Amino acid sequence: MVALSFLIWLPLLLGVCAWISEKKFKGSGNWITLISLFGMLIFSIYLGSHGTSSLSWEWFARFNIHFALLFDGLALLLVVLTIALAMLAVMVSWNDIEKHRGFFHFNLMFSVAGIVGVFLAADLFLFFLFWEVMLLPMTALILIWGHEGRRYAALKFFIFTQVSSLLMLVAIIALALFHQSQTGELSFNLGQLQQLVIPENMQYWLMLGFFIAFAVKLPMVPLHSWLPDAHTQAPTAGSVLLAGILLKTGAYGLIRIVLPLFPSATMEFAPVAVTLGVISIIYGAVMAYSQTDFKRLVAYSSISHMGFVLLALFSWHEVALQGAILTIVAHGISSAALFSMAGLIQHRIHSRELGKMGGMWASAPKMATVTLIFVMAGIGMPGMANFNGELLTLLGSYQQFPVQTIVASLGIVLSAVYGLHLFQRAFQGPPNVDVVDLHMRELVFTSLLVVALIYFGLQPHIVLELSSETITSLLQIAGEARP
Amino acid sequence: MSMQELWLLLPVLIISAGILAVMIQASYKRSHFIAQGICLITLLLALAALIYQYPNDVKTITILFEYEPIGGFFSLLLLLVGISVALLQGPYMGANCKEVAEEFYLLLLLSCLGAMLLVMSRHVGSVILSVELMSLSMLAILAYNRERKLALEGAMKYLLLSGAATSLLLIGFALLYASSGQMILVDMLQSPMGLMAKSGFVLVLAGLAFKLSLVPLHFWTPDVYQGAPVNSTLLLTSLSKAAVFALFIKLVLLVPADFEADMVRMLSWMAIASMLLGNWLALQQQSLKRLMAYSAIAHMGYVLVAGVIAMGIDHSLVLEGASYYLLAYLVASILIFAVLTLLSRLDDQQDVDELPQLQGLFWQHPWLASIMTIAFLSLAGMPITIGFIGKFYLLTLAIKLSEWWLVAAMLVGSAVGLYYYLRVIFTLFAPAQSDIPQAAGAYVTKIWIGLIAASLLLLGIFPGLLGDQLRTILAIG
Repeated sequence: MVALSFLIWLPLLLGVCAWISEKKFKGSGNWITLISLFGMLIFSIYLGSHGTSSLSWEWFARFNIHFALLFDGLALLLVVLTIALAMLAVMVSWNDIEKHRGFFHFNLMFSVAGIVGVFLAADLFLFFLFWEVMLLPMTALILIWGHEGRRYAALKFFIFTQVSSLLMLVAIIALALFHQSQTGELSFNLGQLQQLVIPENMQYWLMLGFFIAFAVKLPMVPLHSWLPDAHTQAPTAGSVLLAGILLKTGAYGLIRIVLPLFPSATMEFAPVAVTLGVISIIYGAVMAYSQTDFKRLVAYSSISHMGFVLLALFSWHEVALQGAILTIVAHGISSAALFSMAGLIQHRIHSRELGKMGGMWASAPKMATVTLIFVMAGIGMPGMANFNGELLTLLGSYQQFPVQTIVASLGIVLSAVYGLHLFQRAFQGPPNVDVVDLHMRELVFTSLLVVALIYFGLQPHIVLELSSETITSLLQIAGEARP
Repeated sequence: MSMQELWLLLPVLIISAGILAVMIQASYKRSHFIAQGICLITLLLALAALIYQYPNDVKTITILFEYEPIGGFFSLLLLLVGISVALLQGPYMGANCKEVAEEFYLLLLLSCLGAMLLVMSRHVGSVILSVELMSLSMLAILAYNRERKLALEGAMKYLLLSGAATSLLLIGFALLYASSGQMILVDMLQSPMGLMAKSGFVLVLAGLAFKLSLVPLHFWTPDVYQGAPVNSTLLLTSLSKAAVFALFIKLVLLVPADFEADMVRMLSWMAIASMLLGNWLALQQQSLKRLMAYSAIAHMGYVLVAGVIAMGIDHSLVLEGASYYLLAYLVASILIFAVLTLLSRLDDQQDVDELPQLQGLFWQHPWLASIMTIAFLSLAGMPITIGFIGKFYLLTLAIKLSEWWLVAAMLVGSAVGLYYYLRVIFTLFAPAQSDIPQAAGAYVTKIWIGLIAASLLLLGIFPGLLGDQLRTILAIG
């Protein structure tokens, strides 16, 4: 279906439009970006309503590389999440961006194109291309519109992800060459590569190549050190996209590539990965507690939450996999929500230091209420989206890795500690600063976020139905590979 | 020599005629504009002639030269470089330049002639003659601004060391001749090799490695690059590298089987050392020219990977990979130096090449800065640029033959390289400090640079455009 490729080049085109028009008419870029994102949201849901669709064009015949896209339930879910969070990013930085506004919108749309490309790619070469390309606009967002330490943070972010993806490139090429040695033809197609029977030893090395690239993005301790810097220094829109979606590309890569292509190696590696996931959960939570910077705290809490995803995915259990996908969606929304609150506060008091906040409930009750809801979602209060994800993760993983899961469940307790600590220092206590309460525009998008968190908390089956196909096929592969 | 052989030499003959025309013109009436015009027309005609009678198999022209597809492809690249340099010299000299203008074009055509002949050589005599023709005219170009002390110093270093390298080449060929009694390259290397012949071959390769600035024969590169006027640096980094590499790979493909293992070992170490050392030393450079010099060392290391594997098995992919990578390297180098040239003046004591001088370029000259950015991204091997496709070819080759040491060095090199390329790009996007003047007008030049930049992206986004055809173009497999 040709229309599928629109999802990738349309944002690029519209980004250029927003750039040009912002130069001519100041302020128009916001509207163009927002409306085109909304159009794309409708368009992707329309495409998704036709069921799974795919596309394959000849691209680089010398290496049998195709421009192949696949749009199934899981991809639809993440594409919709991407576009929705990009809209949030536009709305949250409506008046925030002071210089080079046109170029900002272009970069925002460019990163949407790259991220959507990652979610759609069905050819590993194409996947790698998008994987790298989405870094460029994101680095630009951090570098140009970021806060005081932006240069260092952008450099670190770029180099960490880029270097790890070089390993993935080697693994991709080695995989394609192995396909050639087996069938006589090079292939980068995910579907075809899944048919291969790869010897154990080789599977392990290839899996590691991919795993490291994805673990850096996820991020997993000890490959996480880029994340606190990048998230803290990025402008609010950048943090929203980074935490909301970019981290999810790592999880998505694990679901789409690592698990189905290398089932037995993954199972062999699972104890290590799960342990690292648990370490991430605890480490992220402890570090989050000790932060005094609002954004840095949320950044560390992301590490903790993404540890649950890692734990769930490598447990290879139906319930856990469902939990992983729920967590991906829930954390996407809740962390983006918290980062936008951080952005709103920073816009008002020009600081992210919790020490400079305090007692803001008095002057900004609406803001305090909304933040409280987001914090509650983050610590997994029942009725909100995150609770389902984490509960299912723990339930499923317990069957495979009981010890690790018990330790991981401590993470939930710790998340309540740092979450409430955050709220208490920022909004309660004696009033420290006077802030303006939420405006209409801010109220609109924050309440939409609240609705989304509660909706997915009460109706998780929508997410589960969309991803059921992927999970079933994963379980089938697992069934065959398990001794 | 038959009429048909003369016909095959047409591109070379056109350039020779152009050289005479520029000479006569300069003695008759000095005019920068006319000289540039003649030079450009000559190069374009030569390009047209080359494309018109593009070789699809090997044809020998006397005992000195041969006309074959790989050489044809490299000649295309050489002419591309020549045209770019000729176009850039106009805005670089500006309207009221103190230096004379016409001789530059004369020297440019001479070095193009040398490079094209080198690519076509099949005989020791023609190799030596064309290498010297290229190097000596390059030498004068390097010292083209006599007022610049650094340029003179650099040219002097180049003269001495290049002379030493040529003597290595000569003594190497002499040893090979002594043991084989042959002067034609193919025959020379196909006769059985004793210790003397082997050491002769190593000396020949060392001479060529000097021109390619491969570690450990790289020491001249940064000083010469930094001293020379920036447009001349462009010529040095692209023209001589491409031409010499064509000969290098030709020789390497001829290595007899019993000598292969030793050669692989030697060349592997040179490649690994070049990749690592080049990238490592580029890390802290403040001068873009020096940075490009070290990056050239590293990139020649990458192409050498193809050379090393050339002695392995898969010949067709090797030549494709090397050609594609070299094309990518040339395109990126042309673009980077072109931007620097457009920002600098030949009359000044220094070119614009310190990093702080370029700070905030994007906000003042977005097009120039964008071109420089994509060129650096291409050198760093980011996807959607041609550089990624080049890297992809080489990685595929290295992995296919399980040369894990080379793969590891390539990865480490790329990772380190990323840092300093990114540093430059970040500088371009930093808040502007001062006004950076650029050459006014020069629309033809800018359009040409724009076209090259567009092709860098086009070939990166649609690698099939060239990649699928490369086998036919190079007539292999």
